[in-house]
Amino acid sequence: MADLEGFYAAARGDYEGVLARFRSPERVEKFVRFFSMDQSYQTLVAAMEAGDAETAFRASHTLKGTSRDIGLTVLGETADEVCESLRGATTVDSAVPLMGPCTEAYERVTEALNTYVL
Amino acid sequence: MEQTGTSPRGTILVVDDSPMNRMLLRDILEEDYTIVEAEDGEEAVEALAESYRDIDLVILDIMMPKLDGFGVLDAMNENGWIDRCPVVTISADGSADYVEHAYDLGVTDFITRPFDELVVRHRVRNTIQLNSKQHDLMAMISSQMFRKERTSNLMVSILSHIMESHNGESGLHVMHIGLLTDIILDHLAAKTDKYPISPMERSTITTASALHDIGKITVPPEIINKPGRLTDEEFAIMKTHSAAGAEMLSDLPFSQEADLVKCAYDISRWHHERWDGGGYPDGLAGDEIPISAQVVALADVYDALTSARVYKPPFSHEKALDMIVHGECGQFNPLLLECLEEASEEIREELAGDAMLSLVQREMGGIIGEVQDADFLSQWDKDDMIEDILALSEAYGA
Repeated sequence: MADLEGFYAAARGDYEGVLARFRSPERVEKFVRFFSMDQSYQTLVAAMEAGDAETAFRASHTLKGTSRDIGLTVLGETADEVCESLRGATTVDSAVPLMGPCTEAYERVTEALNTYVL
Repeated sequence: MEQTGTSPRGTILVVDDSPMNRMLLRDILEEDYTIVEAEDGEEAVEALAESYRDIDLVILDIMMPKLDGFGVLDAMNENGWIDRCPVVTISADGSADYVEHAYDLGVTDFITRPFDELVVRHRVRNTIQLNSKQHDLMAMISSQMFRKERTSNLMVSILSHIMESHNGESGLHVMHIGLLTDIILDHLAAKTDKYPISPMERSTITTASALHDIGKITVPPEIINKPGRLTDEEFAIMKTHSAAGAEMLSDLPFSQEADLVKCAYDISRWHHERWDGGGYPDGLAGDEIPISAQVVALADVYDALTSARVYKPPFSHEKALDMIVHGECGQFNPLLLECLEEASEEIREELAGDAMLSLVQREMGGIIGEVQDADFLSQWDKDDMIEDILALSEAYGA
């Protein structure tokens, strides 16, 4: 059994909020596990390296959305900043300095997943 | 095309490129609904093209690869699917631009992300219920229209049959008159706008034609059923039936002002008048005779000629037409004679078949015309109602 409260505290998320929306800890756990398989962060990193602004925009948009869906507040916020800097952009330059906080937040979530859920 | 309609569970098409969103919506909704998923706009349009009739709601994401949500909405508008399937859009950004554009394209409501289970459930349920209530009401109206028409036709047929057993005519005479009247009016409307008759009035005339001979119940059966020629005195009594029928109608203690009663009065009183003024009881001439009575007079003569009577065998269709056109049964409006000749084949075919069936089918045509004229309905709604009416008349053997 996953320790959801521990996970959300370590990942800097909003467990109460997501529980209120999803209405059962089982559903929260199910989608947290599903998130652990999500590839949008990896797609974002690859697109940033390749300088593909459009793909990076889409990937950051998806990462922002899914993070918010399951209450991963900080990851959602950092992904949103990357996403907004890429909206309508032709190069990835403006997003480069914003990737640091996003990566940091993602790694924190990954570590919390490994510790409390998986 | 599948005829199964909506499944009792209700089917929802979830269109979202994010697997997690689809999974979340499925997780929230699949207890109550059948979920069909599409990963992008193109898949959504394919799914709709294949089975829009079975989909009760579309939950649509806007930002998607290939074809986006607006593209799906465009396709739904072009094909008219939006009239049948309500759409709820997933709005992550809550941006005013999106919302306005989506409403313009016919979206019913929004679900905001991140999803709240309660909101998703209720918004989905309300949207589906509203839409299905509208369709249920339309189906109810179609069914009512059909039943009302069928019941009144049946009532008229039964009472006519009883009346005719007194009149010594086959029970089919009244149905034939109705059918002939409707056919002639059809040709008349196509030919000239001299007699502007609305579909409603036409239906009234056809129905009222059944009452043309009600005055005959005042004529003694010995005269009506006498084989051979009537004496002058007997014929004089026989001729009272048209005025007698009209009097019976004007003596009705109810519905004096009803169109049907007024029309039946005209037909009953004047269906033995002739174009040259040579008829009875009033010797009216030309268009002094109401067009309804003129048409029924022609129909009456045709059916009398082609039917067997105690005093004569039936004449053939050709012979009857020939006799009428050559004035052997009195003079008729030349326009109506043209209609009769033009409708010759149609009349031959319709009267050779099941007259009751033809009459019901023609009346259904009237109801369908009424639905087609209802400007407030979309073409899809009209098609739905017409389909219902046709299915009902098929179920009733018409």
